Amino acid sequence: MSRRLLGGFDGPVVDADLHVNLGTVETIAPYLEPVWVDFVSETGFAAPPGPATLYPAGAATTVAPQWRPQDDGLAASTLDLVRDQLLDPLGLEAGVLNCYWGVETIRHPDFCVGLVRALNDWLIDEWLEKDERLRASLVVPTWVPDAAVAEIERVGDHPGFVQALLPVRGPRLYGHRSWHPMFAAMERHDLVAGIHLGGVSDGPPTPTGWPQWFLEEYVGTTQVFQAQLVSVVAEGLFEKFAGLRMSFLEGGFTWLGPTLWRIDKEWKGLRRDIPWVKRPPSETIAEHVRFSTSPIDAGPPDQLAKALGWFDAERLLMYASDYPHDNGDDLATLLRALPRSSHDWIMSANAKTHYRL
Amino acid sequence: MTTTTTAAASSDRVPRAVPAIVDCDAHNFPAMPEITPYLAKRWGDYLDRYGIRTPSEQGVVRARWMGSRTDAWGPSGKPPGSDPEFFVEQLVDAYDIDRVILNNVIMQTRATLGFGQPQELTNAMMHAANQWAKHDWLGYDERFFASICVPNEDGASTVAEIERWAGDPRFVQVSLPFRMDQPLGHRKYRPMIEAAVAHDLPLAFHPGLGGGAALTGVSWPSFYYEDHVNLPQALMNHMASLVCEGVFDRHPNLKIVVQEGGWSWVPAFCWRFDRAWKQLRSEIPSLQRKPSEYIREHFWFTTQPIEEPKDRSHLLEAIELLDMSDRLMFSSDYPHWDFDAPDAAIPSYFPEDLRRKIMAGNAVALYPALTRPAR
Repeated sequence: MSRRLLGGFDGPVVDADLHVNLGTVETIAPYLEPVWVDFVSETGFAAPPGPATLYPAGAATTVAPQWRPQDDGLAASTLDLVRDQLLDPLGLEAGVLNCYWGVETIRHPDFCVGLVRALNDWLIDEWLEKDERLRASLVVPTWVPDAAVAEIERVGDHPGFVQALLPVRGPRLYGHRSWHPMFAAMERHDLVAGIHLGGVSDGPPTPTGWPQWFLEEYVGTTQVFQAQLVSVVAEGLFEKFAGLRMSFLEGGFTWLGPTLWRIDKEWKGLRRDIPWVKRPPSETIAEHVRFSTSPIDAGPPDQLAKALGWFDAERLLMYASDYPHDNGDDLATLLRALPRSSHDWIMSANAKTHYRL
Repeated sequence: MTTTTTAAASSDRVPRAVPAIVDCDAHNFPAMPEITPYLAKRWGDYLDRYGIRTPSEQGVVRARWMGSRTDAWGPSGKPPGSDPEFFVEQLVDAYDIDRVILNNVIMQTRATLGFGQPQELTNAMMHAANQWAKHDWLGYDERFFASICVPNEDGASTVAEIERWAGDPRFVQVSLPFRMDQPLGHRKYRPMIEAAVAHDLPLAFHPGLGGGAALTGVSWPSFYYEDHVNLPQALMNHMASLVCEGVFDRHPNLKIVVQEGGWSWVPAFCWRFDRAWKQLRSEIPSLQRKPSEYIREHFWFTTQPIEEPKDRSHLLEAIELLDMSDRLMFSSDYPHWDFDAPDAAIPSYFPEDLRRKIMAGNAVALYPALTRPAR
């Protein structure tokens, strides 16, 4: 099974995006301050609404058949499951664990911070300290950038934290200057900014109102990743923070070629709008941003090969299992569409450099 | 009231019977005095007293006034797109264009399309814009054709406006802004879609300056650059909505034109859509066909702004992947700053038959009225 999941690849593998499901607040209750234990007990709060919106329990995309727990429990919820289903059989050298619990969607700013701290402490104690192959993203309260900075200062130096998880939707596009202190903190602590599927904004998830179907919203989500990529480029985030690295996770990548064409072309015409961007933005992106390979969203193999030739796939892509989600990925198809010489880069070397593993 | 009389024909040139160059997206835009003669007195007075309450979202500062070319102000001093005589001189005659489809910017500006203003005023302005097109433009030069302006969020008024113009072959499609209050598959738009299909009029999306939602799915960007790069994004949501709501199953003859929204993003979008549809079929069991099949059957795209990959072979590869070379139609976007000239925009290395289809053939196939003698 492992060889099939790895598309027949037999070199070293680093997983740039694997998930742990937290379940209910009970899981992290031991790490909550007493005031929030009381708050949880009074309000009956169980979990933020985020995960159930992105990963409906019965949707085929939520859990891959091979990653369903035998006891019908919560997928990807224990270290044993992650070891037995992923780390061991795939022989992973390292994996970057992302716990998307939707904690940043909680509007109560102090409760949100309380949950964030508990979640990060739980990640350290229950995951990072228990398996040296694991690295993780710390979570931050994105409604309150000051508090995000404080959390990065609090736990950002733990050697297991290599990234801060930033849901792709949030109160503002990440290039916006109100975020700069948060990115300065990431740069200080050598943390990658991990833009990942999830989050909420104050408006609908599209520029044209609310989708009605899960499928409808799901397929349209790539446009939000694109808006973020354009924002961080336009605002000059990487000119201001030259050491900052960024990952785009679970947002796809086959759209990159045409998106970069457009980003560069419009810069030629409108660069006076953003004069601090002094070279084609695709060059800056290639230096600072990496993209996880899941979902692959491949077309026919010959067409996929062409679309991969439109950008520097060997340099920009990092393998990800997206465990335990199912994106219908066929890694073998992806690898066959790429030159053999690029496989090692994509399967491990790019992630090792990006995350300094 | 001189503007209400049909102007004399502009040019002694006789249009070619079989067009060689069709410009599928150029913009006329009335300075307010141009259309007030077509407004009921009640709304003319209203505009005099209260004006158009420009939505605050125009705080994303555009490259130039209305995104115009600096040389598009003619000798009359009228704003770009408001003077048919200069329009013909600078665009139509200069490039020997055979047919031009006029998309009135009034239909793409949320300020004039109803946002913080009475719906009745919006309805009156859209009707006035069509009257202005009819008398001041279509009557001025037989190479002009027009899109019908509609108050698209008001279904009943939109249907009425479509009915008014559908019998006039010079009105070839119905104009829609990219950013509507809901994705186009939403049931509130059913009457509009039914009217368009009944009269075999394509629905033509064009980017605009406003909408009910923020410019991106993550709130507002800071720069016009972002607005402009992000233009294709709303189209992805409309495509997803139209397919998921079964609109194309109900209306196998519905035609959707995407103007100024790019097209090279479509293949990767289709791959994702087909893949997710396979996995999520239990959500919409009625959706029996692959989403990409609907998109290939029902969508057309205009070319401006033409894609410019560094390696030019990639552009032809992108067209090959799109697999819709019969659906790409040249557009100039005159008089805007990123104008594509008919003699330069489509690269010389394109195969001749592909170039001919893009420059005119595909548009003539979609809009049969372009080949009929003008009335």
